[in-house]
Amino acid sequence: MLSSVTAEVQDAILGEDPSEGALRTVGLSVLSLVASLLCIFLAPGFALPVLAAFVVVTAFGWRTHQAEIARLLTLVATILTVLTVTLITVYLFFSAFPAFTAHGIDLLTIPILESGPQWFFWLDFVLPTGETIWNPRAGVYSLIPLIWATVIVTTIAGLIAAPLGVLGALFIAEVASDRLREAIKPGVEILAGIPSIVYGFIGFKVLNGFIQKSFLDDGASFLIAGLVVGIMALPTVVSVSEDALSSVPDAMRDGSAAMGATSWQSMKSISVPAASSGISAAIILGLGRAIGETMAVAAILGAVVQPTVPLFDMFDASSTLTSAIAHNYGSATESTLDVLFVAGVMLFVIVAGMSVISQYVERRINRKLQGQQ
Amino acid sequence: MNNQIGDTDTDTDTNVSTDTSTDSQLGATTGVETSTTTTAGESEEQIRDEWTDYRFDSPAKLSVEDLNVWYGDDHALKDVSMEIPEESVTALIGPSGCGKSTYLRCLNRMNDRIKAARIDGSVELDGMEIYDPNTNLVELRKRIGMVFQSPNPFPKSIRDNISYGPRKHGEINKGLLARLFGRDDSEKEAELVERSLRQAALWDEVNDRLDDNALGLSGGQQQRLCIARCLAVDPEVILMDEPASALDPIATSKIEDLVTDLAEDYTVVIVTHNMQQAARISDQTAVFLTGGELVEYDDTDKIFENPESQRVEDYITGKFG
Repeated sequence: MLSSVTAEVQDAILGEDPSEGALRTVGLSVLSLVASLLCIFLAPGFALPVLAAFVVVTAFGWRTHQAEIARLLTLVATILTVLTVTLITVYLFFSAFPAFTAHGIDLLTIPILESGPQWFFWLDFVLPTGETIWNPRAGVYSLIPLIWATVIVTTIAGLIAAPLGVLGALFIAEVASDRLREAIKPGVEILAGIPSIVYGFIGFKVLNGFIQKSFLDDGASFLIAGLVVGIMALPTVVSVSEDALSSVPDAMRDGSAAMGATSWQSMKSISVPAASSGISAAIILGLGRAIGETMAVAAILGAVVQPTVPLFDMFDASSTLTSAIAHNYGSATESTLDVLFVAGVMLFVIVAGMSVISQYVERRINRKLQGQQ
Repeated sequence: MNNQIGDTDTDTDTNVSTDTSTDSQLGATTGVETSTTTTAGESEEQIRDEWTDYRFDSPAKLSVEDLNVWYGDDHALKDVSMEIPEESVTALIGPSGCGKSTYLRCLNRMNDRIKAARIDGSVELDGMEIYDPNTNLVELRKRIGMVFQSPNPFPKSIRDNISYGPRKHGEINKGLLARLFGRDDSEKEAELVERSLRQAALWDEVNDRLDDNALGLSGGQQQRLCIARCLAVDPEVILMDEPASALDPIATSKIEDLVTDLAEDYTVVIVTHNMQQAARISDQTAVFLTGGELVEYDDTDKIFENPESQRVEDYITGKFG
């Protein structure tokens, strides 16, 4: 197995029949790179000189055997990317492991209120219950409020981003004239370029202030956070669904128009169903963005960790999985940090899962549309 | 169209020589200014009104008067006038870029969908002006159906493809409300689907898989599905834009048979590149040549055996185009 991979890589870089010189140059370059990577872990002091040696060897190789060295560099870049992702994943899971063993299922403790355990979709039959839920000093950590806060914020964000985004994409792709489209599309994309803390600050300062002054003294943190995150997810939803709608062949629209369908009927019955794979992928990607959003949420929701009572109270506030990490990592004790890593693992799994699901949905619907069920 | 000049690989020397010979024959006959937009190998001559003056006994289904189309600055169709008889097959032939597809798309106002297109002139369906500002496009396109060059079935089931038009026109109700109030038209739909597919000679091939996606059919079947879809709204005129150009010979012959059958009940106007096809299936033929002009329009036999215009003869015998 390993030897066949090595042989294949060697083939790809050196070609069928490598010359002695190419073999030596590439070999030396690889050797020096591996040595410098090892040095980082084993003898950090030597890492820099060895890396410099790699650069020199590669630079010389570039002059003598450019094709081979170029192929090697593309391979190295790919390996470094994959290696980084793998190391992050491994490190995340390793760091979360102590908290898993120390607390186990208690990390999902359902809070007890005056009226008994907080109702949580019948989960209280399976999961443990406890008086306190987040108390680092006493060593009690329940991630349930964090998870629930994430669910609420993401749901509100989805309810805002999905309809607005899809309708906006429909307007850009089907209704707007060419000139209007050229003006609007960059506008939507600029929305994606605004730093997230700016959104958070506006949400906290303007929206929260407005709501506290005009409607509710306590503010409406989940609602505002969901609103702001929904707006942040909008550009993703709009541009991905717009791409999907634009890629529906015009021949289909012509066909529909020639049948005497109005443009709204064509849009509703031809364009949207034909682009449904892209549109669902857009919504899932947008939701993924909403789940992972940190700074805006942290600014709006604050550092409190508490269960919402009742469960669906969207005017309450509590940290989400992401904002809890942002608020606590600086001042946390060793054991709290471990729990935060568990939160990180959860986020990682959810967001990675969503991108896998979006790809699956897209592929499935595409296959269905192409008539090969 | 201008971009056709020098487009073909025929050598331009013949162009010059034929120019002079035909000029001497026809140059002095009328005072009309000479057309300069010819393709390589095409001679120049003046078009005479009587070449396009085709008379027939039955009433005209469509009558077109002085139709001009511009795409931006490009004058794609010049002063076309012709009358199309009822329940017959009218073939439009000509080299690419001669405006025959543009002309076809004017007949059901599909050119409205092209923003750069400007249309001037009159098209009457049974004496009713279709370029009237009050024309109901939905109603018009119900009466004049269209089949496109490459098959464009909707990404839906075969059944839904057929019932798409009637459903959009509110003739078939299958929604939740209709079902709740017992006005479900499933039976009517089944009848319509079977009738349309039989008319398009597709029923025997697909009757056991009406719920399959239409995109899974072969190209020829897809094109016949598009014809069936068009028949489902019960049109009076069917416009076909090179319906067989993307198909293999067997599928093509099936479409041709179908067109001949359809002419018994419908008025068919068909654009084609294939002159044998036009000769086989059409009752009358209109020849468009470079520059968007209708050069000759007459009985198909007359056009193919004894055309008036030298250019039409050259085109039909394959000297250019």
